[in-house]
Amino acid sequence: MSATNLMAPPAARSPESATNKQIRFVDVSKQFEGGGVAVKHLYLEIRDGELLVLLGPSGCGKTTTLNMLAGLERPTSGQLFFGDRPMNDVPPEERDIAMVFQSIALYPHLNVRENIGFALKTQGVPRQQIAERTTEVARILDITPLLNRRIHQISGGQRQRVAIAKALVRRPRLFLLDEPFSSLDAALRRQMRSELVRIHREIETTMVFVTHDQEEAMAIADRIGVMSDGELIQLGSPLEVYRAPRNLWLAQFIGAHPLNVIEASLANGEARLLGNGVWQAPVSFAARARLQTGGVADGFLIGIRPEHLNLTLAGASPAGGLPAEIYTRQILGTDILYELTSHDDVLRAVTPANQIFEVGDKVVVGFDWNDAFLFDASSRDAIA
Amino acid sequence: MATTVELAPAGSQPIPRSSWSSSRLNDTQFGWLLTLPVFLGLLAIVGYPTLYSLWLSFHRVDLIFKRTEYVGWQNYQAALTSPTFVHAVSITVYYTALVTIFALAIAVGGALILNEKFRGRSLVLAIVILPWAVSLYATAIVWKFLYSPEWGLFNAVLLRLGVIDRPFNFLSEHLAVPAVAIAHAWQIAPLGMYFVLATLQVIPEDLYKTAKVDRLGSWGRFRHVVFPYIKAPLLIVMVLVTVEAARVFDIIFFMTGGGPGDVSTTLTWEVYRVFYRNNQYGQGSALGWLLVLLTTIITTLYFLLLFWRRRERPDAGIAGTALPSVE
Amino acid sequence: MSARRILVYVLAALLVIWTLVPIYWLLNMSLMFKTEFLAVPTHLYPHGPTISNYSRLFGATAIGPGGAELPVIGQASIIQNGLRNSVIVALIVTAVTMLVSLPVAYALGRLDFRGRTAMLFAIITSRSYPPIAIIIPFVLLYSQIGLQGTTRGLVLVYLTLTIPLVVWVMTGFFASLPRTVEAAARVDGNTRWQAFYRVILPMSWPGIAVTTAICFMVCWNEFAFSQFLAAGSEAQTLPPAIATFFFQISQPTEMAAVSIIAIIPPALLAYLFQSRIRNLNLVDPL
Repeated sequence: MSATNLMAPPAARSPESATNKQIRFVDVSKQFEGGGVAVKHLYLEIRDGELLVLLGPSGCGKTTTLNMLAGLERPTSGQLFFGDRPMNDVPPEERDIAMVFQSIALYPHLNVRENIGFALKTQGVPRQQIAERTTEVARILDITPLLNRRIHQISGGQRQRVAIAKALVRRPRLFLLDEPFSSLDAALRRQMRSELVRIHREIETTMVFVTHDQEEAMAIADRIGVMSDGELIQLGSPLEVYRAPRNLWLAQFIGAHPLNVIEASLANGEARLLGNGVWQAPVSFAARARLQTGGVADGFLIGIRPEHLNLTLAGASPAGGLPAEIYTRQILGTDILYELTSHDDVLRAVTPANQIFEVGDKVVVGFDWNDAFLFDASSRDAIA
Repeated sequence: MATTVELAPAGSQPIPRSSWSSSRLNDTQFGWLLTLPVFLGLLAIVGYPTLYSLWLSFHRVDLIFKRTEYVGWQNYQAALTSPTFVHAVSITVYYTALVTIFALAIAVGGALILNEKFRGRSLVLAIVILPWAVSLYATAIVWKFLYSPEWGLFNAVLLRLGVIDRPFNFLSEHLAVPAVAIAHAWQIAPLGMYFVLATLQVIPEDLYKTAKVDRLGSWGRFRHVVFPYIKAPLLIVMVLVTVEAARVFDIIFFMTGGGPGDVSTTLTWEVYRVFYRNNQYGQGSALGWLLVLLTTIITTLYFLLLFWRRRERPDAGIAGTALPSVE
Repeated sequence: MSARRILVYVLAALLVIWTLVPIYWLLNMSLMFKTEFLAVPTHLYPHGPTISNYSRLFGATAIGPGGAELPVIGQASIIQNGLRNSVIVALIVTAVTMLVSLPVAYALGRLDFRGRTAMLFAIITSRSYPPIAIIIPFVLLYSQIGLQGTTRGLVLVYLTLTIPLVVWVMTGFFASLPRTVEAAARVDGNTRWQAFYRVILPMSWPGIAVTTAICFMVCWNEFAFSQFLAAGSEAQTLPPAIATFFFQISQPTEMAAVSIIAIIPPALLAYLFQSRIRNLNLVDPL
């Protein structure tokens, strides 16, 4: 492939420096034989030692991206680099990677110890060394008592630990994890997440973790790459993605509770919110400036997370708020989710657990413009 | 880095590289590499005889003068227009239909019984496969002994019970075909029984509960819960049994020899008769090809059915992971 | 016990009777002296059971019910020879078939390659060929090239039966393995080929075992090809030997004993593997 040589002259392969350990996708696309395009023109740099989460709904191309990293799929166009080395034509067994699968691909005919040591045996590592390294990872993952069990004799959570141990024992240059926890129950999933973060801190190896669970992504990632429809929508730290989503879809996709999306327009320095403009609220100076720069003053969308709506009992209400009534209430533990009705509109708000309203209470809804996302009504992109 | 862990940082292992490796092939290349030699081998064994038989079917062979003569479609014409051929086809259809009906009834009935919970079920499960292990020729021997007028079990029991007062010939002119068909069904049904049973066992328990809540009786439950599930597998078993019945030979050979007279002369027996008894190689080959045509049509149906069923289950794609195509 | 429960037990009993009675009758016959066997009315179980029908097959003589000595069965040597040939042919064919078929089945079950559907179709079509139609040219060819009546000739023909069968069954088995197995094996440092023999094959041991058993059974039970390609020769297997016995002489009790012997190996295999056979989808591997 001609682009390859332009981008990475193989002759110039220096001893691997930090930057050289980067993994880069350069204009990579993957098209399947049936005609479906799984990944479109992907540019992505994976930093050495980071835990990158690829997040997106099913069919967004994240698993295909992971498979291309593993060498299990070949890019249709573009080039993948490990450091300076073009990787498109390197088969998986020559990539020095370890992978943990959603289906927990352990070999049923081998016991736990043999499963963990299998890849090392394949590589011809001496028996003594395999035993030592197996013992060590078994200790790290707390599965020493299981080493002589058969796979069908251990539980799902234990299997996932064994799968991680099997990957860990390799000391690979790159860890790939394909929805590894999705078959575990909620409590176990949370526990495994924090263990993974701990392991990552300890081994400092680059990890790429694929999931469709935004909560999981937020919890573990150094950086999140959000994908949709084969494209990388946004790449950034969890907080960046949470606080400044690049478009409406992403704002709705990220976050524990469904986003409030409110139609809005500007008139006489005030915002008219909701379909019929029943909610008239003063606009902050900064927001007004952004809207005018964006040139969308007469029709835009506001996205507000439920946790950013303020509720106060009617009567003591500040000006510019929307009168509404509590329609339903769900106690979620640390906080409470309310559904509010106002005229024909429904909004959702989350309050701390100590701020309790009863169903039927009349409240006034307000928000801080700094917390609001502003989107172009037609393109649905964020207004910078 | 924590002191407890001594895992080396990334990328420290040398990567072995072989000049030739199966990994450098794409799916199609690797697939052909694995399959083609065997296919060619089989073709080498079957190819010449097949072509030879095709050639024969267009010739008249004179065994005495060791002469062959090209006769075009004449053998086929003769086969197709001869009354014995028409008779053999009708017997084949009759026989095939009977075997299929008997075998499906046994398979579904047995599967429904085995789907119940009862003590000794696992033993019964192990026993019912037995006929399938018995070869067709042994099946024929077994059933010939059962039917025998002189020492058969059926006559012995019927005589003792006083149902009949003298031995009855089960392989007589009117009963020969159904009698042989029952023997064949006995042998072939267990496989279908296992297959239907496997399907029955994936029907969710909740569906039965729903049916009970909806006040469906046994028939209603069969019609609305069980049948939709076993419909497709049943069709597949049906086609499979049909093919097996249409190519029957061993049983006829041992039980009736195509008789009495020609009442059980199926197409396969007709081929045998023309070829071996009458030494009409050309016409025998032509008949053989007509027979192959018939079974191929049924098999094509079977194949299409399997693929159609696969499309019905979108989850059941090809299991192989897409592996890298490294050109 | 409810009426329904009783009905289930009655039906289950009927199923067992239907399955076993034919074989019981054969066994019953094989354990009788000919004199008892010809009694009127027919005995439903042997009143004076004897294993002489079996022992006389293998060179022993026996004392009959009247004190008369019963000689070794005349066909004994033919039957013994047939048994030996059946074992030899079945073992050779099974070994070759398994060796040759597994890679093919693997490719068809797990690789999505161009030509796969056509190959599956070819296999299933060849499985449905009526043997009698394909036997004609084989008989003519074999007598020309000297394979008629040889073990080699039989082995060759049997391979055309067993390879498609084993490929068909194992294709289904391989396809049922989890999708990620190869991916895991590859990432663990195996080439495609190594992934097959280091991971897939050992994993598939249960399926391979039962398929081997089925392959053996098919060879053991095959009649038509052996009848036409080897009957009367030194290479004749058990089924044509039994056919000679069956049609030429009237020794039903001895005949029954031979048949029982022919049934035992496949029946034993089926019993041993019955739970695996149930899990193996022999009808629809796709």
